[in-house]
Parts: sequence; C-alpha cells; structure tokens
Amino acid sequence: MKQFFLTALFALFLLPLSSLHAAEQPLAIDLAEDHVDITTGFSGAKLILFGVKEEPGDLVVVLRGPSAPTVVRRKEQIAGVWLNRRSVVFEDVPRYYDYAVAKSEKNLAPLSLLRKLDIGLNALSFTPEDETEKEEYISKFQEALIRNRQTSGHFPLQPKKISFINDNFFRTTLALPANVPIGEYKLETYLFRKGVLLDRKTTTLKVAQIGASAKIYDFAHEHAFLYGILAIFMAVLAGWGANAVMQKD
Amino acid sequence: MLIYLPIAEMAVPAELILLLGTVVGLMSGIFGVGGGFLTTPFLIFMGVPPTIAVGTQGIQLVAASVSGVLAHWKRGNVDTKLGLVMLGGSVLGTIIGILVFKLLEYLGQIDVVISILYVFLLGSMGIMMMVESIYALVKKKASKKEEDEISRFQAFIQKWPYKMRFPRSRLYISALLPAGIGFIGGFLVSIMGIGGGFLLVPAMIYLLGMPTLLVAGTSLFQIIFSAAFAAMLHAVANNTLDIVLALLLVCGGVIGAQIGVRLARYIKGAPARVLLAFLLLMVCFRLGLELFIKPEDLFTTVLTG
Repeated sequence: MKQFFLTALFALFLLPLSSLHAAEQPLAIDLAEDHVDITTGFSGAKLILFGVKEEPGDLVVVLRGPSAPTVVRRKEQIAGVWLNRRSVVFEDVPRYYDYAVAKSEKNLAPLSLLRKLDIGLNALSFTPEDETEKEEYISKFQEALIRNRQTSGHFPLQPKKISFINDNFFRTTLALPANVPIGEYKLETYLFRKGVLLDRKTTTLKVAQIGASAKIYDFAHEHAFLYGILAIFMAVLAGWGANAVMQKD
Repeated sequence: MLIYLPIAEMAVPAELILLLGTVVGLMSGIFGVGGGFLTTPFLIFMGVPPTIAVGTQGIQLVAASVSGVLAHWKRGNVDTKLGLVMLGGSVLGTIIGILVFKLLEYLGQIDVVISILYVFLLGSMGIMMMVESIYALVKKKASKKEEDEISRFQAFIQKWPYKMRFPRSRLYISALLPAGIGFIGGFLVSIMGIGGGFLLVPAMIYLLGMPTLLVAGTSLFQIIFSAAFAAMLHAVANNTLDIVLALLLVCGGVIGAQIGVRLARYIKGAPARVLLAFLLLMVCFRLGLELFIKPEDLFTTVLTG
C-alpha cells in the first residue's frame, strides 16, 4: 500500500518534472557497457549506445580514444634504398577514432563548426609541433596520418549508421577491433538543428586489460628485472625439457 | 584463435605464432642454427612492433641454445674457457647494440636498418654457404689459393697481443679474437634478435682455427648468455619483452626441434647446407625487395608516448 502511494506520488509530481527537464535537455544517452575488458582471448568488442532525443534534429556520435603525440614519416629514395626522410610530429592525435551519423555529415553544420568539434574524417585537424611549416606540406602529412590509421583499423573508412527504433529512440553500434588501444575513451553525442548545436552529451568508456593479461602487464612494468628472470627461467626449462625428451628415444 | 599479447598490446593468431616457432625449431633441429633470422622479419611482417619482436626473440634463442648445448655438453664438445672470453666481448656488444637500437628508433630508421642488416648478412652468408657447399658436393677439397689466404690470415693474427691458451681447443691465440667475434654476436642479438650462429660458426672455424667438433657447442654456449643478457636489457630498459609471445614461440620451437632432429638423419652435410643457404637467400630477397621497390604508401605513422 505504501509502495502504491509512493509510486502515485512519483507519477504525480516527478514525472511532469522530469519531462520538463527533458525539454531543457533534449538529449539523453546510455552506453550498454561502460568498460571494455581485454582478456587473453580478446578478439574485439561491440559498443552499443542507446539514446533518446526529445527534439527534432540531426545526430552524430563520436568515439575518441586517448591521445598521443604522433610522428608521420615520409620515405624517399636514396641510393636506390627507400629511407625515412622528412617527418612531422602532431600533438594530441587520438589513438582511436570512430563516428556514427544518422545522415551525411556534410549537411549537418558548417565545416568550421565541425572542425571545431572534430566531427567527421573531413573535419579532423591536428596541431603540428612545429607550426612554422607550410600549411600545404602539413596537410599532406595529416592526410597520410589519417590514411595510415585507417589501414591499421584505428580510424574509420566511413561513418557508421545511427538507427532509429522510433522517431525519438535511437541506437548505434561501434565495433572495436582486437588491436584497440587501451585507455580512457570519450563517447560524445551531438544534436544539431539547422546547422546549430542544440545539445551534446558525453560518456566515458574504459578500455583496459583485465585478469592474467593485466597482471602480466603490471608485473612487467613494475618488476621488470624479476619479469626478465622469469622469462629466461621459462626458456631454460623448456630447452632442458626438450633435451631430456630427445635423450629418451 | 586470437591471443592477446599483453606487452605488445595487440591480438595475434596463436596458431600462426606456434607454427612459426615450429618451423624455427625444425631448422634448429636440422641445421643447428637458431633460426632467429626467420622469426624477427616474420613477426614484423605480422604487425608486431620491431622493438617487441627483437626484445622477445632472445627468449626463444635461450630455449633453443640450452637444448642444443646440453647434447654437446654430454659429449664434451664445449670449450667453456673460449666461450667465456667470447661472452666478455658479447656483453659489450649487447650493450652497444641496445644503445644503437634506441638511437635508431628515435631517428625513425630502425626498420630500414634492420632490413639492410638482414639483407647484407643473409645475402653474403647465403651466397658463401651456397658456393662452399656446392663446391663440397662437386669436389672434396678447397682450392690451394683459399687455403693459403686462410693460413696467411692466421699467421697475421698470431701477432696480436693478449695471447691466451685454450687447452680444450688446442689454441694459443690473442684473447681479442674470440672476444671480437663475441662482440659481433652480442651486437646482432640486441639489434636484430638473432643469435648469429650462422655467422659465428664459420668465423670460429676459419678465423680462430678451432676444431670443428667444438664449434657448435661453444657458440651455442655463448649465445645462451648473450641472448639472456639481451632479453634482460630489453625487458628492463625498454619493456619490450612479451612473455606470452615468447611462450608461444618456445612451445612451437620445442615441438619443431623434436621433428627436426629426426629429420636430420635423412638430410645431412652439404645438401643440408644448400637447403639452408637457399632459405637464407629467400628471406634476403624478400626483405631486399621491400628496400628497393617503391612502397605502396610513402608515409608511415608511429604513435609515441
């Protein structure tokens, strides 16, 4: 009985309040799992994002991995051999990038806004460490960076799809490959209307090794000397064992 | 089946690595070489970073050398004193090799230098071995001129200082010579992840004039320690030893060595060397192509930090 009253109370007061709230914040999202566990048998994972938008508009979901300084090198032929010659260092390049759209991002918003928010492959721009270089030169290296990262599977070839279950309720699936970099990921959902950003929501995702895999990683970094000894001991044991078996026949 | 390598931070097909280890073990069983010259390029080709490939390879070498040296030890075919002098040079070579490796990695040339070293070493050794073994197949003796050159060189090294007696090998030579050979061995282990047996063995026979019977055991004895030392340095200084990868390679290696030793009864002497020379030249050719043919994409991207 008490429970019934509480529920009724909730329905009477809180629900209208929450829908009012929703109008102020037109976007709500939830990630099915907020962590990706890398175990020894890890072969990739699927991220499923659900969301509700209370107002009409265009959606984009962007996934960004932790960033790192990144070197792009260009080979040149010297005395017949292809050697790395020139290089450009970019600061803060995400180790992983993927995004999903409901419709082509070209008509979403002006390119300047997309650039500012780093939405879409065409709008990605990275800051070179040495800013005195010519823009044309830098942009060639930046194109190469994106191309190389696409080949390694860390940048998408094309955006994924956001699908709608009804007019407001949407979901999207992003597949993470087996060589996904570890670290803190940021998943951002943007709602645009007529080229203006209405709302954005951010959730974080932790990609980390767990179990045996994580233990080995920690041990190797915290007790490097012992780890090395252990590896050598294993090798000696294997070599000795192999010899012992061979002697038997 | 994909298996995740915790240090390389990537997944690789376990059966492929096991197979690679088996092939390398097979080679060590048949030819008595470590087979590192196959592992490192193949791992890099699979997308394993060169640093991890070289850093992990030492463990595989330790396993292969221990199992090999035990058999030689039983027959008394190890010159421990000479091996220890070689090891002295090899420790220095390993340290310098690791420093050079770090410098080249910083300069962004490590891949190219590894490839050039491989092409040069495998190419020259492959051709020499091929010529020598075909010679041995056709007629028995080396030409008079070559023998003269070798004996003239051995007369020259008799003048080197720091002479030392190696009773087991019945040698009275400068300690600098085995130490120098060890130095090159240590350098190769740390920079290329190979034991360099295919280089050390002929050097010990022709330059030191060591009895052939003692050469394999002594070179393996020396490789155990220099490979272990290199693995240790890579693990502590660079954190590039992946124990899961090492385990897969070693397991495959043990299986392969078993099969190899049995096969070795059927393939012997000169024909075996022709086969090995052919293999060396194949790997050399494959790596050489990459150096000289215009790459599909001129740009490469490396994440740091």
